[in-house]
Amino acid sequence: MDEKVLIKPLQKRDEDAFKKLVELYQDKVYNTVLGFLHSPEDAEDISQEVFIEVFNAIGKFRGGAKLSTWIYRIAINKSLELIRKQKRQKRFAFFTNIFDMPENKKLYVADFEHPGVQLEHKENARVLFAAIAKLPENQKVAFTLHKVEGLSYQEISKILQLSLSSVESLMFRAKKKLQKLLADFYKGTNDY
Amino acid sequence: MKSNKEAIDKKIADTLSSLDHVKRARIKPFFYTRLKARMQQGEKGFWSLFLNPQLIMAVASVFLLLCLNFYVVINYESEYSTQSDGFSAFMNDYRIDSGSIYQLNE
Repeated sequence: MDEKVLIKPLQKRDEDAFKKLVELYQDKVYNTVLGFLHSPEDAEDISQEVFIEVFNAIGKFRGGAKLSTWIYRIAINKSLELIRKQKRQKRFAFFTNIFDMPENKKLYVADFEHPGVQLEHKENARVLFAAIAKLPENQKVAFTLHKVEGLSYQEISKILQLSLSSVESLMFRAKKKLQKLLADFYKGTNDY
Repeated sequence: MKSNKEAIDKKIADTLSSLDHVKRARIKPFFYTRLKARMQQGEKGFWSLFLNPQLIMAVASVFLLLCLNFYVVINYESEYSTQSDGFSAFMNDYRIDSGSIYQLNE
């Protein structure tokens, strides 16, 4: 279905159009968010927030970019916001433990298994996801969009509003950094 | 030693390619129903924001701090005024004032 057809009815708050939009993008949004957050519960929660934001802000959408690009941008921003919030909570874990607030207990998932990874690659993928989490934010975004969501460098450049060469550079640096992180990890564990 | 490095390099290459054929994760069924429910709840539940335990804790902490500040300021002022009363009584008892000191010097 052409996404342009959906924009006008969505701006008129048409519920059927919103339902079609959700059905069209729910897995793309969920997969992207899951790639960043490594937690199915958080990914579902943030996916809901993404569509609520889309519904509330569609009136401001001027069609400068594709609708999918705009939705990916919202999904990335929401995911990164949550990661930053979790990092802040981790820093103040001492105080939150005193008050014993249940939502602060799960700060990050160390052994995340992506449901789309083939069985024979599960263990390697788990290590790779842990390494991706340690990348700088922009490299993490580019690498996750390319590897997990399968977007091309061209699509990533539109989403991140960067030139193609900047995305290539981000990917190159991400791979270098990951190689170093993985080398340190495997040298330390002797698990090879 | 060389084989050790080769083994690590191979493991790194395998790890980096482990996401090459990853399939897209699918969200649990009835996502739209859950989303609609949340949107409707959000419309109704404006006042529920104020029942957030973290917010209540923060407001209570600020209120407690303000009360402590107020208590300290009031106590300090009354203690200071008591001290200054005692000092004036002492000055009167011994007839010490700035004028009498100058008279003695003359």
